[in-house]
Amino acid sequence: MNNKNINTEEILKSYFSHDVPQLSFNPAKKRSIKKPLLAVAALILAVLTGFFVYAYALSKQEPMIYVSNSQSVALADIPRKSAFKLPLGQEETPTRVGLIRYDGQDMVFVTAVSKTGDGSFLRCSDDLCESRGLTPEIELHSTGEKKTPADWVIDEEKYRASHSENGVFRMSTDYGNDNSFTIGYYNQSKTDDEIILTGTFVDGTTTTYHIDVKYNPDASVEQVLKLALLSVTENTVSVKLGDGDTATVIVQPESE
Amino acid sequence: MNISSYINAYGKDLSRLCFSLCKNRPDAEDLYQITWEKVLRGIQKYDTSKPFDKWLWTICINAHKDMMKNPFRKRVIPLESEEELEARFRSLPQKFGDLDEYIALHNAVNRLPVSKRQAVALYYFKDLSVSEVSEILGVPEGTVKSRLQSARDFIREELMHE
Repeated sequence: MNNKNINTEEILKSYFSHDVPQLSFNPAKKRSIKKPLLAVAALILAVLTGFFVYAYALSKQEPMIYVSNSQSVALADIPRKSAFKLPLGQEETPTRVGLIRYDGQDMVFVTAVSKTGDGSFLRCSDDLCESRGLTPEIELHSTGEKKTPADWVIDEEKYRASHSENGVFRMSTDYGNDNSFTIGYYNQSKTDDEIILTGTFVDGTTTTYHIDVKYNPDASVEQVLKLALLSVTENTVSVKLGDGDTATVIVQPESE
Repeated sequence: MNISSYINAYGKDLSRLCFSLCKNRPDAEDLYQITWEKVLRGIQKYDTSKPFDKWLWTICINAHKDMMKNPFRKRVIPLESEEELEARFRSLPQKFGDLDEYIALHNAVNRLPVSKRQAVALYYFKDLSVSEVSEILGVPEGTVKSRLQSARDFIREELMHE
C-alpha cells in the first residue's frame, strides 16, 4: 500500500465490521476439566521422571550387601534382587565375590577366591563384622600373611587347574582373632552337570553348608561366582549367575 | 431472561468480538465457549441494572487474557485460505483497496500485541467509546487512547511497508 494518506481509522473500522460465522455454545462441553487433568498428568509425569532418575542413580551406585543387624534381621525381611547384587567387577577389589550364606542366625556372608587360590575372603556388612569382632582382613593358610580385600583377585587359571585336576578347589582360610572364627572352605567337585560347593563355617558353634549350584562348564570363574540374589527362603537362596542362568542354592546347616 | 435468550441476542456480536480477538477460528470457538460458560457460572452475580453487553464483553476480554496466559494453550498457526479471506473481504460493508491490501491489513492486525489488539477490537467492533473500552479493559482512558494510537501507528507502518 503506497498511499501515504492511509486512513487507519476507516480501515480498522471496516476491518472489524466484517461478517463472521455464528459460533455455537455447547453447555454440555466441560472444558474446565482440562486444567486439573493436565495438572495431574504433569504431576504424574514429574513423579515418574523423578523415580526413573532415582532408579538410574541407584543403579550407578556400587552394589552392596545390606544387613543392618545380624541379630535382628530375619531372612524374610532381607531385601530382594538388586539390593543383593554382589560387588563384582570393581577394578581395585575384583575378588569380593562369592556366595551368600545363611547360618541359621539370620546372617549373610560373601566369600571370594584369593589371588593365590589358597584362601578365601569373608565379606559381610560392616556392622555385622563389627558385631562379631571381625576385621576386614584375612590370614592365608600358606604364608600366614594377612591380606586386605584389595589384595584379592580371581585366579581363573588356578581355579580351572585345581578343578580339573582333583575336582576339589580349596579356598578356605582361618579368619578372625584366636582362630575363633573360621570361614571354612569350598570343596568343588564336578558330578554330572553340577558343581558342589561345600562351605564350613565355625563361629562358636560349628556349622557346615552344602551348596549346590548348577554347573556351567563354559562360564568363567567370575561368571560362576558372580551371583546375584533373586530370592531367599528359609533353606534356599535363588541366585542369578553371571552368565545369566538362574540357580537355586540349597543351604543345609549341619552340626559337626 | 434465560441463557438461550442472551445467546440469541448477543451471540452474533460475541462471535465477532471473539474473531476480532483471536487469530484463528479454533481459538475464537474456544473463547466463545469459555465466555458463555463463565456467564452461566456468574449469571447470579450479574447486576441487572447495568447493560448486559458490557458485562459480556468484560467476561470475554478476561477470558481472552487467561487464554493468552495459559501455558498449556495450543499454539495454532493460522492457516486461513485465501478463499476464506476473500469471502471475509467481500463481506466488508465499505470496500477499500483490493484483496492484497486486505490480506496485508489482516496480517498486520494479527501481529499486534495482545493488549493493543484488545483495545482496537473493542473500540472498532461495536463502535464503543474510549470510556467504555477503558471500563471493560480495566485500565485508565489515557491508556486506552495510547494503545489505540500506538496500534494505528503500527498498522500504518506495516501497510506502508507492504
